[in-house]
Amino acid sequence: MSMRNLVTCLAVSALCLTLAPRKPALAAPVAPAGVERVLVKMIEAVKAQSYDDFLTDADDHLKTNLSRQQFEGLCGLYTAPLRKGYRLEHLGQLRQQGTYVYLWKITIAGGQDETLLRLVTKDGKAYGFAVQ
Amino acid sequence: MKDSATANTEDLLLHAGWLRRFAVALVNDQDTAEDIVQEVLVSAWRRPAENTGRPWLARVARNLAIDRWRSSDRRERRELAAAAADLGTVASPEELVGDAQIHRAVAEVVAELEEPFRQTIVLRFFQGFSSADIARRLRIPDGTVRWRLKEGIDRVRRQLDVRYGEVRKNWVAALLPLLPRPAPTRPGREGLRPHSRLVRTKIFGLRPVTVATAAALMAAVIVMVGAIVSRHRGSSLQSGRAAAEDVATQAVSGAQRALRFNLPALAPSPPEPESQPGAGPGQADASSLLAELLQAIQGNAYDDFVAKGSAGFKAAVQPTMLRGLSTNLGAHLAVGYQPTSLGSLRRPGGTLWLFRLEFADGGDDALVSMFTDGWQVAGFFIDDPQTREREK
Repeated sequence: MSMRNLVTCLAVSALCLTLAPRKPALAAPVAPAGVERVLVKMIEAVKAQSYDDFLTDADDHLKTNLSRQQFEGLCGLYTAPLRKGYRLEHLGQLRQQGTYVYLWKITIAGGQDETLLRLVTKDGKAYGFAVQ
Repeated sequence: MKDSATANTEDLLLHAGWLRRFAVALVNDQDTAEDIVQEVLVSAWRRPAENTGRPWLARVARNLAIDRWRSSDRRERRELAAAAADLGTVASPEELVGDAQIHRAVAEVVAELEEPFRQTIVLRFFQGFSSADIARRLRIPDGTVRWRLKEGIDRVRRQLDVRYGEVRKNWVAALLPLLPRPAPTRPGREGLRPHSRLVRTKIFGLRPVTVATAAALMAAVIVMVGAIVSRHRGSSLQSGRAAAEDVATQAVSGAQRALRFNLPALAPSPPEPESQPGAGPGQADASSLLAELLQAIQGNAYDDFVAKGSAGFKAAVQPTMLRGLSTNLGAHLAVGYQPTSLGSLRRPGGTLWLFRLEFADGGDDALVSMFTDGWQVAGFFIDDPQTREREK
């Protein structure tokens, strides 16, 4: 192969590499819009200390298992911090025993520590909710 | 590790385990409450469990307090006696502990403390450092740390006095239920234990929590509602006495009282002096650490499993625990799995790394939580439904 052909070949190769479709960068996981809406509604219910609002999208199981007293205890711990503002970041989801477990990181405004939120859904309804 | 000086009210509220420790310091005025509480605890320790309920404790505390009141006219003693007497009429300990008002009040007062008192109190009670450790970290004499602690606690007391209308018994009474109560007397354990041990290991109204297979104490400020309460159990290997304290504190608090503790949770063990604040693994390093741990579980290789663990982790994780985990989880791992990093969370004392394990058999996913303090593994937990089934 002549030098000219070699240079041409290298140039074409470089051009091909440049134009080749790139593997997309890893994007942050995105929660289904409906699920995130449910989560935000539940957080807002804690902020507003509204037991009824908290259970708006809950299934019967959650409604049965979450007493008003439990909810008030939850509010006692988290209403005030949440009212300062918060930021949610979806981390991913798992499939477990017929449910979907959605994980979020919640950061309270002005705070440094981050907290794990879990929203468990079953058949499109909120089946469980956890703050860790 | 988190900068201790930045701990604010919300930080303090979100990690409530420290409050119980701090309550001991607040209520335990050296000259008064400590003696009374001590004697109540010692007495309770020697009594059968059924006789150490609140009325009994209140009666003992009241009697002891009255004895002291008669022998001295110190104001604090009178107040404490009154507080102890009030135990008979106020809400139950659970209700009291569950009263977020006192949590918030104490947290706010601590957060508003002037420096260096706030920093010292946060390091001591929130982050779990000893006075000597704080002295080393801040490069100040041990005596200075102790003075700052005493002055800081005094200032908190005074502020609480102001908030509660200059009547110390109001807030002392609310904090008393937070104080540790010894576990029921067991056969062959009649001897008294040192106070420090009681404070650290026995919790008011609650037995230490164990996890079925891992038999390790799990932790953290965790509020679980609804289905998760009954469904998401798991196995954890985690170090730290503070973890047990956190769990226990949560166990007796209002909302959490109805919650369960056989749930996946992690909390940092008290930071260890040799750890390097701010330093720690990145995501890739954490993934490598996880791979090593999972491999060690599969091979039941105890030495490998604890090789990168903190001292507390090594102390807490026993070979028998790993054997159980290896038997149950190892079998599931053997079918093949794909770990996926879900990210990390900043927590007091370190970083919590989350991973999803998808199994080749198409079964349920598992959630792995790994806590690192600097480069050391301080906690490890796997929530795997199939493993739970095997454990049953």
